[in-house]
Amino acid sequence: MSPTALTTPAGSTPTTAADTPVVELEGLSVAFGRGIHRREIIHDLSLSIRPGECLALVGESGSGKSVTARTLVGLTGPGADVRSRAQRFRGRDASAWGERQWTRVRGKEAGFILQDALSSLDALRTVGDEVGEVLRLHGDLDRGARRQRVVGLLASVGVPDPEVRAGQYPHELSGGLRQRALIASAIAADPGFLIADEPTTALDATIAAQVLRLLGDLKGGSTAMLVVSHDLAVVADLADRVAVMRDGVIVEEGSVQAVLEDPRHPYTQGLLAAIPSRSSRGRRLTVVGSDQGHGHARSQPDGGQGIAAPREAPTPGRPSLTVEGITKAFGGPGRGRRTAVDGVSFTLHRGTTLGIVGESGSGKSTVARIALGVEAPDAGTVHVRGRTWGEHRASRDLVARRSVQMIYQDPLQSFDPRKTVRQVIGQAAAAAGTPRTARAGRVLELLDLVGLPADRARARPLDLSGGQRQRVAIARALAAEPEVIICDEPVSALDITVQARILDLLTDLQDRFGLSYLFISHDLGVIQHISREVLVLKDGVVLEHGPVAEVFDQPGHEYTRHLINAIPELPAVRKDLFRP
Amino acid sequence: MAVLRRVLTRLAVGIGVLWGAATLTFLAVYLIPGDTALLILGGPDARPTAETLAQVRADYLLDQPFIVQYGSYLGNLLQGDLGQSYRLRLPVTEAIGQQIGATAALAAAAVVVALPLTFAVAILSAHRAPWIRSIVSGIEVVFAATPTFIIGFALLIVFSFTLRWFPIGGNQGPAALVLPALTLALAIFGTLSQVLRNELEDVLEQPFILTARSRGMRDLPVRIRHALRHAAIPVMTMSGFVVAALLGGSVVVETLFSRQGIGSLTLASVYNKDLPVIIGIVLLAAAVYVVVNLVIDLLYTLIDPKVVTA
Repeated sequence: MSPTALTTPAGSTPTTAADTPVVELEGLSVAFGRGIHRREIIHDLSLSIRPGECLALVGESGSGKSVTARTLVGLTGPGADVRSRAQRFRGRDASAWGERQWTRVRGKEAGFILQDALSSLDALRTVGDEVGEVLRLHGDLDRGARRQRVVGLLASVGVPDPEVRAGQYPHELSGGLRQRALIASAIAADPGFLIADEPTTALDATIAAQVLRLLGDLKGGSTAMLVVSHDLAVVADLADRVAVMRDGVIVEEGSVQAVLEDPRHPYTQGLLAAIPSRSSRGRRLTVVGSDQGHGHARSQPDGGQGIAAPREAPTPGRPSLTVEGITKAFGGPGRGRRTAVDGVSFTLHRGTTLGIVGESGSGKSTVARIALGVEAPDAGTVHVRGRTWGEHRASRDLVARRSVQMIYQDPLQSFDPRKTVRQVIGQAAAAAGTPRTARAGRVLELLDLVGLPADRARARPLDLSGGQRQRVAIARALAAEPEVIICDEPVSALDITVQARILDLLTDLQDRFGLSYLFISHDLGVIQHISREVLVLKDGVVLEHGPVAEVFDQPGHEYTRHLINAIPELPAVRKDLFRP
Repeated sequence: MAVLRRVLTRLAVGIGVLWGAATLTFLAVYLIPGDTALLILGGPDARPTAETLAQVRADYLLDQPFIVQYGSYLGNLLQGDLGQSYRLRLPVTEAIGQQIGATAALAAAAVVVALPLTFAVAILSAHRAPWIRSIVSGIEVVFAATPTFIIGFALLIVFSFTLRWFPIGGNQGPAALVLPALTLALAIFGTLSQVLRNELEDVLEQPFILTARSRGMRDLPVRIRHALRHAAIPVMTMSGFVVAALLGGSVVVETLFSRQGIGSLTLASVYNKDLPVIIGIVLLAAAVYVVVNLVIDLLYTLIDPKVVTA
């Protein structure tokens, strides 16, 4: 086991031990599949992390960032062909390690934190058992001592009532507490190296901020850390260095400051420009020339120039949708009844966007369903085009109904997987009264509007990428020539550059057709980018309502301040960056 | 507390099922064409006198309206009186009691062989190289799809006729139990193992498995300590059906190996239209089914904490 003097000449001497990188990869390539199915997804990748250092691996889905992170602890996956010129773990040659050697390292010298602690913790075991497992595997503590240590660990990551929590199951804990418990299990054996793979992705903003702070606390001292994320803003505070990955290659690497303030690679520039925020209002998120994307949206008058003149805020027209004092409670009578929406009122003006923000369970989606007219409120009214939902028989509201459409976070679930895109959109066109003979042309027209090439009409939803599916969903909504589109987290499941393109598309369509959007999102950056007014919901009650600038500059409510403070801030991004 | 309420509810449902089974069998017997009194006296060949027939009708309430017959049937059932076997001239409870031991031993032996085999094979073969999976799964399909009597014949030919390791049939000693139990066990294994492996493969893809491995746990312990509990839940549901199938399987196996037991009793009773015994066996099957599902339900609460709180 001990390395020979030849292979690691200075690795064992104490003077250099402190400087020895915790992990080193040189020329890593990873491929999956055999024969003609073989596909290399990591190409010639090198990285190293020193003690006390935090490296962020940033990239979009499919960039290979998670595979790289897993390879660092020998968990690339079954059937993976992993090759490298050198792989070292704390100076030891790890390139030929088998399962036996890796099991000694995992947990003890390297802790791993995955996203979504609900599925990353064993649902059939108590949180205490999960955290204690690391101690059982790598320590010689007896049962009682382990239990005490587990309680101590849970307390140290900020879990209140750790004795009680240790005996509970993951589903009995909130998302934030689960993530903390998962972190506790990763640091239980004091590993000195932590890998966090999208540690905050599944969490509400305020909870995510707390978890980031916790990770920041763990970073101090000699602990090395690798943070994998799709979100540059998330890692900006935490990391010392950033490596931007795309298609299995690190395209740019450097200190956080250098990469964020002076990105050299066009892809990094595009990524940064794509982040929606207060300062991105009125400009396009997609940088011209940096990226793929579909031609149509960019051929709009203002589209060809990157950020030309900021788009004028549309002047509000007449009310498109008026909601007055809607209230809705769910559950049986008596104690089980829960008020999801309580006296919500707002007016959505023609050609504008009203953002609704709030954390999970705040009643956002219920408001959307009531506004759409598929859910009847217990009290209150919804007026659309001079009609009121529920006043007449549903058939008499048809025209009004058509004028309100909806797009969802996951359009795939709203498509019949056996139908082609043409059928999906054609059906919507038929429902909107487009005559049979005109339908084929209408479908092509709609596809063109949302920037999809005509040949996609033959595809089925499963063959499309996430961004393309959302475009189809938008085309389907447009088929009815609506005045209002309710967007329920329409970009939350998308990668940042895809999100940017969809947001740009929505803005273009709004300008062109005077659409009004009721835009629901948990992402305040997106809301600030796209909305004119914003509504802050908490527990079904409107806490604040007003123009975006007002609400975000002078939040009148503690909760809003809380939400705003939780937005991960990028250090001053160069303003001139997005000029062509 | 929640567990107790759950058990009581299930118990009440179980009693309902038993009552339903009793009623349905009674209805079936009532509606079957043919003279029950004649059957009791040994069938048409017995040529009883009119007086004897009338006597029997009066004794067995056959001349009473439906509701009286049904009431007395249920009343007797509640007292544990299933009536007399026409054929054996024995109380039904006694006739079944004599045979139940042999069948219970057979079923227990089959389960004792099948479950460890299923778990071992599924745990070791889940998520392995494709060729391993194809071989194992091919064998399972053969066992699951082949009729029990063919498996039994094959075992007889190899181990009794050729190798002469085990007796051809009978109830004498543990050696006579081996081949019948194995026959039943292989059929159970073939079905359960496929279900369990599919479940295991789903579970092994879950993030918490990756978490467990990232803690430094070896592959096999991860499978046993983490994956197995999750995969066992649907398998337990299946086990309820398997137990029901065991009774049916025992008819075939006991006949093939000329063993005593409930299976052969069922067959003989059906041949001879011995209705009280058939009713008794149906009720026994229903009772076993109810009890097994109750036990499985309790096991759910042990395995899955969400069942209790939900």
